[in-house]
Amino acid sequence: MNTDDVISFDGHSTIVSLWVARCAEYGERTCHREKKLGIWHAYSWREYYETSKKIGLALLELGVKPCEPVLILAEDRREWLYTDLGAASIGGIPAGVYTTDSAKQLAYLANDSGARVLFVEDDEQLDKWLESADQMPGIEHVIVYEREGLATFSHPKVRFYDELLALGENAPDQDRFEQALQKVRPDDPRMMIYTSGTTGAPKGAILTHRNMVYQVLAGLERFNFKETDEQLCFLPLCHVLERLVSVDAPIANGSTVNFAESPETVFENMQEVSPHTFVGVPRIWEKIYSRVTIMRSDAGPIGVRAYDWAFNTGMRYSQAENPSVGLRLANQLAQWTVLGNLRRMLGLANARRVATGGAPSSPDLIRWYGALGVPMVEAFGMTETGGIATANTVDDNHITTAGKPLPGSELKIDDNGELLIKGPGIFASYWNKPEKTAETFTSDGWLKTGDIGKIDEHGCLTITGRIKDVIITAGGKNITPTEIESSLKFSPYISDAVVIGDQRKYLTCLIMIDQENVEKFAQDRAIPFSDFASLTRAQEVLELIREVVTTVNKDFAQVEQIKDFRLIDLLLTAEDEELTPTMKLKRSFVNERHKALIDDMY
Amino acid sequence: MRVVFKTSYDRDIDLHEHGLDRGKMLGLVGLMILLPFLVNDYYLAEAANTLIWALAGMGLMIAVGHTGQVSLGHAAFLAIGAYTDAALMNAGVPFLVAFPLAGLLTGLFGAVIAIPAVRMSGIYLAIATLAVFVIVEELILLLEPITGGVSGIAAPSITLFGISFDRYGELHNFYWLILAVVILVTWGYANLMRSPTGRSFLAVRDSEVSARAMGINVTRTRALAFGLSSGVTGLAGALMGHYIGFFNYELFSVFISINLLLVVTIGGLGFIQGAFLGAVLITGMPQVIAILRDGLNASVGVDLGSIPGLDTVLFSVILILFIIFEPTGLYGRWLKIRTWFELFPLARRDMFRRHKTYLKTERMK
Amino acid sequence: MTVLSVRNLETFYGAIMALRGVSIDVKQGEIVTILGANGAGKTTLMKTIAGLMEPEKGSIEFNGNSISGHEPDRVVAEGVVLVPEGREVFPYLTIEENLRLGAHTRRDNYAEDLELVYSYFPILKERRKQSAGYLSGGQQQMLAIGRGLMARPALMMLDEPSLGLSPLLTQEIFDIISRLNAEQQVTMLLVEQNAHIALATAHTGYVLEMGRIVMGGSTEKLRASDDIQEFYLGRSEETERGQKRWKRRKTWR
Repeated sequence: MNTDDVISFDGHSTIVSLWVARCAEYGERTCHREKKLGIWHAYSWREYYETSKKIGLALLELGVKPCEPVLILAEDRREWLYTDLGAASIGGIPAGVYTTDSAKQLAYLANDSGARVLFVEDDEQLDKWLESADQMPGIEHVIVYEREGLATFSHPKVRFYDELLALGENAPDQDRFEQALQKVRPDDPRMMIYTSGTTGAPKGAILTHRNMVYQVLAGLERFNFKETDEQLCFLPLCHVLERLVSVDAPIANGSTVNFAESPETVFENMQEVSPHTFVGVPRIWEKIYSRVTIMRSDAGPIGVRAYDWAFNTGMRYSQAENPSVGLRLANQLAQWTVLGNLRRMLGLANARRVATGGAPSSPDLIRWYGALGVPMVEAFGMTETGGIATANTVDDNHITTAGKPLPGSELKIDDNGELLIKGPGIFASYWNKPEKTAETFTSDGWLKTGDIGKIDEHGCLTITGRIKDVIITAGGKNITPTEIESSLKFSPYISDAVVIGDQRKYLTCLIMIDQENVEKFAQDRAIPFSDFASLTRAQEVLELIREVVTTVNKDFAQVEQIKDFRLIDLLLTAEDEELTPTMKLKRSFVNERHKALIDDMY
Repeated sequence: MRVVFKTSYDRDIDLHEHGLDRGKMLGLVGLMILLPFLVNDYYLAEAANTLIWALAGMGLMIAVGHTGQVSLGHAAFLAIGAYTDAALMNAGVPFLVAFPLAGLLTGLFGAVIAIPAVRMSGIYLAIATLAVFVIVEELILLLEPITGGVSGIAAPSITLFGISFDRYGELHNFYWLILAVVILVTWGYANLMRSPTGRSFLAVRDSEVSARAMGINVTRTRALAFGLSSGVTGLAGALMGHYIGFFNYELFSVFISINLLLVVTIGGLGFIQGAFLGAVLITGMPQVIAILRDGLNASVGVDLGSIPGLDTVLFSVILILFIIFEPTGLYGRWLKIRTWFELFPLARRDMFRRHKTYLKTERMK
Repeated sequence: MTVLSVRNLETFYGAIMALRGVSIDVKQGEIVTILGANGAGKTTLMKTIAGLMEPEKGSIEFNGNSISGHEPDRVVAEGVVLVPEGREVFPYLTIEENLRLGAHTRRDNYAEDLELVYSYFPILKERRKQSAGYLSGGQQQMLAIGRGLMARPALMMLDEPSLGLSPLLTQEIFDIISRLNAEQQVTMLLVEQNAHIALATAHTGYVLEMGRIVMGGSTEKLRASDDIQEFYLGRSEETERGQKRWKRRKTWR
């Protein structure tokens, strides 16, 4: 596929025209479901179109021009999608803001994007705008989805969602919407995704319709999706992965998206919805695995034996190239008696395939899910590649790698070891940052991912770290900390880790422990602790982590040995500056914030 | 385990939590219908007896399990039902009229005596019901022309639409007739409990004060519950009369009352299924003991039948053991087993360890 | 000297884990308070220590002896007395009979203690021949505390003494609790929802949330904590709009 070819899905070369066709085709079929007050309500494709149209018309009334960003600061809900498609249809650029961002961060994004219209979810998010409204004078209109808590509130710049819809419904020229839609070209922006900024300030990556149509087309070629699929949407929609999986792909494939009630209820919602396909970050899969393992350790003797036998059988079956009839039967039995019930408990009974990405996954974890009967594939991608760049498939699953590139894309490793990607999914540019954009491409048009990787003989990619993260020790040695950190993170007791060593004599490490698993460990051994901080100071816990570190050290060279470590004694949340919204430690912040701890180790 | 994807609030008061539940129930009913083809006449008759006891148990359960009223005299209602039905049929009234009428009259009788009785509770109510039993017993003897007095009467053979449902002649039909009655009553009972009336029964059982605060007329509710209870028991009594064939007042002794109470208590107080499980245990255990005894005799040659009263002692011991170790009843144990399977293989060991309960408010659990 | 030492306590309500590894210490002569919202596990903790519930894991040591899993009457005999939530006085007995029952486990002459209780609670002396069921809530609370005192406990555990009492009466009860601790050197473990008065009266405190201890230390430190102030002491932040409906996440720093 030439990068200049026209790419079309079902005859449509833009997401929005595909969307209109789908809404017309599916009409009353259920498109979205949301749980309110205990029951799941269904919403149709027709409603998708009509509400988005009202929003689009209203935005036109408010003077939104083509290629103007529109900010959305809300949790996952269908109004997010209505706004997304409404804005995109009239040529605007929908951009999401993380709900865990602070008022200051919101102001930065507003100024950087130059958006005039901001959508906020409720009073909590509205307060962020109110707090720093004077720092973002560019915002002229604020629309609030939820009225709760704002009954006596009024502000000249603020209107409520229903008022906006009324504005669109009463717009004099209803045809403006379709007219604007017709004008959208494949190379026009489809959406803007702000990179989470582990290093430096966030940059707004522009993804075009062509990028996204390619993604859904290539995705369909690689994986099988069905119209009847049920999905669960819970990762933030401001992240490219969830946008692709829960917005653009369902438009293309016609699947139904169920919205999780809140991040806290994801597991219950998964049980209820029992999705057919699910994409998660390794943290989710690790959490599920931890829960099950903890339950197993507390289970009765019959249960434990049944569990072990079933997983043993499942493991052998899923690993076998050509399983014997006996093994097949045994696996069926295991599925029927044990594993099936377990899958129902986890909400994975209908999952044909699940995917993991965003961070390295432990191969043992992937195999465990395979044994459970839920094929898991690892994939790799970035905002700048439009979502997914490489992916394994169920039939061609190379565990420990992130799979082969999507059809139509190419990979290569340059002389520095950096991964370069080329293909129709590569983003167009960073918003208003031409120099940064230019920096990200090579002279012959390859994307410089900033990741270091290897491509094996099958063409499968393995990522070993980020270039910027490379540590140069005082002795002049180059170390990729990500490899060591990933190995540490595979342990259930470690949630995240940052390796320190820049300009230092040797490597050390700051570790964030997993509260639940370490607590269980302490409980099982009657190790006393009161609050989280005291848990991190317990001698036995330090020993436990020391053991993990020693084990990991065995796989690494002499210069890469972790000589000492400290545990972070605060329970960090996504609202802390040390963590990204996807719960990863920000290297620079950690280095700064915990300087005392670090210096202590040298 | 099955998780329900709730899309409507009606789901909350559905009789069955999900389709699988309904399927299992239909399967069970199907099995019951096919029973005459699966077992011989002796066991079929036993099954019919169990069903009759389950019906009587359901009757008592309405009063005791769901409304919290103790009754030591429910054998009286069995008697009234049996005699009314037999007498009416002997007077020429067809079964289809006599049978419901027997239930209705018993129910009315129960409701009437309930009105003074429901103002009492606890031990006072128990004594009152015992008194009612004694009165009814005397009434049976007094109303000799109808009841045949000391010698008793015979319940005539049932014929509906030309088909004979004779207890000995057409045991299959008789069994199916009983099964139909039981299914109808169970279905009605289950629906009653999810209606506002049923909920008012539960409210009165759990907290009279709160029930009154909700606007429930406690006296009327109790009387209604007692009336329904005695009515259903009357129907069971009528069927029992036909089952035995020829009966007198001795059939309905105070031991029957106590057995009935055991059925509902050991079966599981407060659950319809408890009546069935209790009936199976109470009617089945003597059989099992007899079989074991015969088996023991045949294999080892030890004849325990020669020891008088051993059966009864064994029966009592087993019951006492149940009461001590399974206070939540057979159905309670069944629920635990079911939960264990639902969570399989991850059910926590000691999940069902009984906790000490010291507060009155905790004893419900 | 540590009088009570709870380590890694895990208690279940059927399938629900109510306490997830709680460890606390109570030193001689001090008042320790356990704070927490409804359902945090405070009463479960009390009941487990008193022997009314059995823990799944963990240990409870009182004066060096293990009392975990013991029957409640043995626990009282060891010197740990529970003043239960909701008073639970014997309504059909007189005040004096209630108090005498409190001394059930004692073999010595307790007349002196009876007078002591009356000196702290004069209203009880006035009504000592009256049925306890006719007392008001505050008086019943006094009776319950007095009854606990009669056992000459080494550790007195009070479960929500302010429950259902007016603010004025709560202050009175807590004044008496303070005095008892200071004058009679009664060590106390206090579970309270009224964080204000609990933090004002106690020396040390622990905060329980969802079965875990999230903060512990001296009551000065607790009073100074932002999270305690916002979530337990009711300090509210005003924003531009006025009252805030949403609450930020607790961080327990």
